Amino acid sequence: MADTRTTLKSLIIETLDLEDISPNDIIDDEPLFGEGLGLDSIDALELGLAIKKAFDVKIEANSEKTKEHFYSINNLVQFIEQN
Amino acid sequence: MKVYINSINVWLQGLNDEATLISWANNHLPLPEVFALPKPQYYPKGQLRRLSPFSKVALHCLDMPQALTKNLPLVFASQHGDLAKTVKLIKDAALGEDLSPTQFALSVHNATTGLFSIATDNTAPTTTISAGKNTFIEGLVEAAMQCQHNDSSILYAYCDFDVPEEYHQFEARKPARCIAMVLSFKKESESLASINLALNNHDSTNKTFSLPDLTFIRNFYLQDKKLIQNQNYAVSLDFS
Repeated sequence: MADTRTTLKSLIIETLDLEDISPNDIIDDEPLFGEGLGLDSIDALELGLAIKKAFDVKIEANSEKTKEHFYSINNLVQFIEQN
Repeated sequence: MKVYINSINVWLQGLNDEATLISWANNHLPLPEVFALPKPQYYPKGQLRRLSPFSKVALHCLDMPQALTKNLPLVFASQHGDLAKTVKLIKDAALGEDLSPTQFALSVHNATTGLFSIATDNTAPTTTISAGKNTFIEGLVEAAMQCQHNDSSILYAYCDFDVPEEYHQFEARKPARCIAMVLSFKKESESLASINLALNNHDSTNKTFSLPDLTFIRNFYLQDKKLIQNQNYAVSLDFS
């Protein structure tokens, strides 16, 4: 769904105060953390909280799967739509 | 006791350069109602977005060559700290909302000093002070004592913002202000002025004092030697 994708990108930019970045700059299949967008672990916590609030999904803090879900926009969209 | 100011950086409700601060001190320029926030140039670009307005101003004022490179101890004083952030967290907690991890992690009184030490690889000790209305002068006393005791230069930063709306019933509106200085116990070639600190021997019971931090800024830019007092101390500047 294109809508979830756009909402998610805007949410990331707004939640993390990513100045100078537009939704188009966030590439769907590129890593969000480390390389790519260059986010770190505090961003992950912040983003987890925002996604939980906005999409009403449960996120397991200590699951390996969570890392996978947060890898890229594509993975996150898939995760949100399945939950 | 006497300490020397070797470098100073003042930010007052958006006024930051010497000429505009002198105009303000001479009552030629009112304080702006709205102001743009400074960006500390030495701070990692990708991390700037995490800084609150309070931290941006404090870290910007600490942008002085000696402060960034000399691994100096830092005394940081603030009556309220980053109160806007605390109020936001309290409100979220009261509403049963989850707290923002970033805001929570940076909500302690010494968060700004931690951000400074990480950004500048400073491993020297830091001290944070909050002493009610006396904060600016009590912090100055602490910094002067450390100068004397260690016989070294000390960084002193004082920063306070106007309190959030909810607290205006307890405290009048005040401008956002920050004073950062490199202080030394001995006179250096770059010394701009000296600060004399003495116990306040006058009977100060029930006396009200004008804001010591704002008076300090005004006196500094007017090169005025008039006494700045609180309940315990009397401070004056000397420009000779």
